[in-house]
Order: sequence, then structure tokens, then C-alpha cells
Amino acid sequence: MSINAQKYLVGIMGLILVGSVIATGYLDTQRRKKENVPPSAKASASASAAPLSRELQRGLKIYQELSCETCHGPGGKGGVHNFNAQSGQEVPPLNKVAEGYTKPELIEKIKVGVPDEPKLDPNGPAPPLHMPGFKDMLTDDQVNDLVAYLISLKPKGEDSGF
Amino acid sequence: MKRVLRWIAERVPVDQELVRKALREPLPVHMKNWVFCLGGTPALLFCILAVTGILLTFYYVPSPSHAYASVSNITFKVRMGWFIRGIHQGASQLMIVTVLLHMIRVFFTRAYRNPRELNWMFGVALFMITLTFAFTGYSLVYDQLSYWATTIGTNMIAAVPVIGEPLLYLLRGGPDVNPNTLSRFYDFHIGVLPTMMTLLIVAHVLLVRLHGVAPLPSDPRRETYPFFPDHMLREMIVGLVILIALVNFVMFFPPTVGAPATPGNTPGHIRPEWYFFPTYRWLKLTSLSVGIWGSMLFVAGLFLWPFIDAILEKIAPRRHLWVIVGTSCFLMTIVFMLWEAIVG
Repeated sequence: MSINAQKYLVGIMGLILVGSVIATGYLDTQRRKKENVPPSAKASASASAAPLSRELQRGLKIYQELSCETCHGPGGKGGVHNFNAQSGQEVPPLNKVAEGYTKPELIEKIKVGVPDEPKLDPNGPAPPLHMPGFKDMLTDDQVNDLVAYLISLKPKGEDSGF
Repeated sequence: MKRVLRWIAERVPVDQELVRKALREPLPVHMKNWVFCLGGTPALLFCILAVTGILLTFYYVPSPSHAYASVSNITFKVRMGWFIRGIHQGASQLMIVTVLLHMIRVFFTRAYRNPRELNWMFGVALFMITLTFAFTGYSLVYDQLSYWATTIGTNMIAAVPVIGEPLLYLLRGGPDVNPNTLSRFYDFHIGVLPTMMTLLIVAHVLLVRLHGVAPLPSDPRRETYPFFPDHMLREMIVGLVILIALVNFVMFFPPTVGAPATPGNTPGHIRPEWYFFPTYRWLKLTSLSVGIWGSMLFVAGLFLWPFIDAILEKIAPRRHLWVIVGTSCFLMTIVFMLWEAIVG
């Protein structure tokens, strides 16, 4: 292969490489668009096309900044494995906390956390993931915003009917 | 452009003729064969690993309580984090492959012979560092498999005669894998090993340039061609093919993470990464002490191969013993690797 042909080949391959990286960036943007919209926003968008309220937007921002998704899954749907945890060996999902907790209970949970995650097998090892307390990191207003956001995660149309 | 170059030349008074001469170093014509263009690829991959590694350190937290969560964060949340992690992971595996292919080429063309023995030894040391890089990097993920691979890998170090115990203690920061272990592995991975590798790459390339490229005994041609731009272009083509393949692979097969590390719970089936399959199979076939001694002898033999080959040549000239030894070792490695991959 002549030197000129090799130069052209390097140029073309360089363009393919840049194109591949740009395509990856586009793919990433599409994935993020798809996954980052909270279920409540999706539901409200389909029902009434209403945007998130300011309180919920602040709550979502805190949810993202604290990396809650890392353990509780995208949109709080759960699915992250937590060996020997009583909660089905998984980190509990957050999209149904509205059904199991009152607002003061949720506030308490966020502030104190769960230092000792209950074990499924009492003789087994401690579950590797546990909920940290955020009382030193969040103001009362921020905790309230976060609670409002978590309650909003409850999938619409799945109310028990009462 | 010329003005800029002149400005730089005035401030960095290097003999331009010397630079030109170094860039246009004549290479024997057999180097035009693509097989001889693999030496630069590991260096390119090392640069990619350094850049992606620095980006990963922006988000990675080397503590047992946060490591797994930070890797998950990089993989699932940080913008393009999955891509950077995928490229880092893929480039590390490709680096092992390309270093191995380069070593096989050097071995079977006997480019390690007098006076290039020291450079072969530098090359073997670079290969060992590459493997250590991969091992320490894999441990940092802190999921179940990586945690237990670290435990078993470091357990084997204890069986090394004389220095095993202190080396184990140095690596783990205690008798067992504990919170110190992760930070020590992190220090090795981002500090000690890159420094050692950079110094060795510089020494390796310097020796190649000082000795010149090893002649190929089977090629009588005397023609040469310049390193720049001719050979450089070939190296760039190989590098670009690998990078395009890597980027597209990561795009379609993004990295993921397993279950978080659970110190008290040993998974049923632990296996190291594929590049340790031959060693792992060998250790399974023998007792631990025989396995460790055998592995140490193999590495020592690899280091000292140029001298062993010279002795074999004296004992049995023109018997091509190096081909027999090299082919046997290569086949044995492939068989052990496939055996472990298939049977496990």
C-alpha cells in the first residue's frame, strides 16, 4: 500500500472513530432521556401534561444529588441486590413508600437511616448495603421536598381504590 | 505554522537535524509486515488507559463502603460514565492481548538475542506489570466476583517462598482482606504501577532505538524505509482499527456490575478473569506449593530466556530448540486457557 493510500486510510479511520464516539454520545443522551424521567413525571405527562411542581423538582434534584438511584434503582424502582437483607435480599424500592409510611415516618427514615439492616438469616453475614442517615446533610425543608418527591413516585393508576 | 515552529525551536534549542534523524530512522524492510506493527499498540492503549483512568478517579471512591456504589454510579448515572469505564476495561484486556502478541512475535523471530537480552527482560517486566494492573483494577470494582478474586489471588501470594507472608501483609494491609486492602490496591493501581510502567516503557523504547531494530535472519534484503512517516502510519492504522473496534464494542456491550461484595458469603463458583485462566488451571492440577513453584519457574524462565536459548544453541546447534520450547509453552497456555474456559 502506498504512503498516500495509507494517509487517506488513517484520515478515513480517524473520521470513523470520531463518528463512533459521537454516536456513543447520542446513544447516551437518548438513554438518559429515557431513564431519568421519574415515573411520576411520565404519569402526569400522559395524564395531564402537567410539569413537576417546584417542590417535586427540588426533591428530584436532591434525590439525584444524594445518588439514591445507585441503591434504590432508576426512578426508585429497586432491583439492586443486597445479600441476606430481610427485604427480599434487595434494596427496597421507593416508588411505593407512600403506601407503607406516613410522612413523619419517612422524614425520620431519611434523617436517621437504617444503620443495622435487618438480616434474612440471623446467623448469616450483615447485608453489605444499608441506608445512611442524612440529617447532617439536609435541612428540614430539603427533607420535606425529598419526601414529597418520594410520595410522588407512586405509580399512577395503581391506587388500592380507597 | 512555520512561525510557531520557529518560535518553539528558538526557545527549545534542540538540534533540528538530530530530531529529523531520529524521526527518519531507517528500519529494515521486513518491518513493513503488519505482524511487526504491534509494538506501538500497547503504548497507545496505555495512554488511553491513563486518560480514562484519570476520568474514573473523578468519581471512584476507594473505600469498602463506597467503592461499589461509586462504580454503580459511574456505570449507570454519570454522563458517559459507562463509556469511559467500558473503554478502560476493554483497553486493559486488549493491552494484555497486544503485549502477548508482541512478545510472541519477538520470541519466534528471536529478536531477544545478544545484545538485546536486557530489552527482552524489560518487555517481560512490562507484561507482568500489565497483568498486575489488570488484577488490581478488577479488584477495585468491589462486587462479589472481584472481591473473591482478590481474596484468592492474594491468598496465593502467601504460598510464595520466603517473601510470601510479608508481601501478602504489604498488599492487604493485614492478615486478611480488610478495608486497608482496597486503598492499597488503589494506590498501586493509580500510583506505583503507572510510574513503573512509564519508566520501563521509556527504557524499552530507548533500548530499541539505541540498538536499532533486530535483523530478521531469514530475510536477506538490505533495503530500509523511514520510521516517520512510513512506519508511523502503519502503527496508526493498527491503533485506529483497535480503537474503532473497542468503541463500537463498548457501545453495543456496555459494562455492568455484579452483586455487591459480601465478605462473609463465598459465591459457589469463583473464577479469575480469562487472562489468569492458564495459571488457575495449572494451580488446580497441582498442589499449591508445586503450582506456585512451577509458576515462579515459568516466569523466571521467561525472564532469562535469551540466556537459556544461548545455552541451548551451544548444546544443540541448528536443532531449533527455541521453536520446540516456544511452541510447547504456547500450546500448553492455549490448552489450559480453553480447558478452564470450557470446563471451569
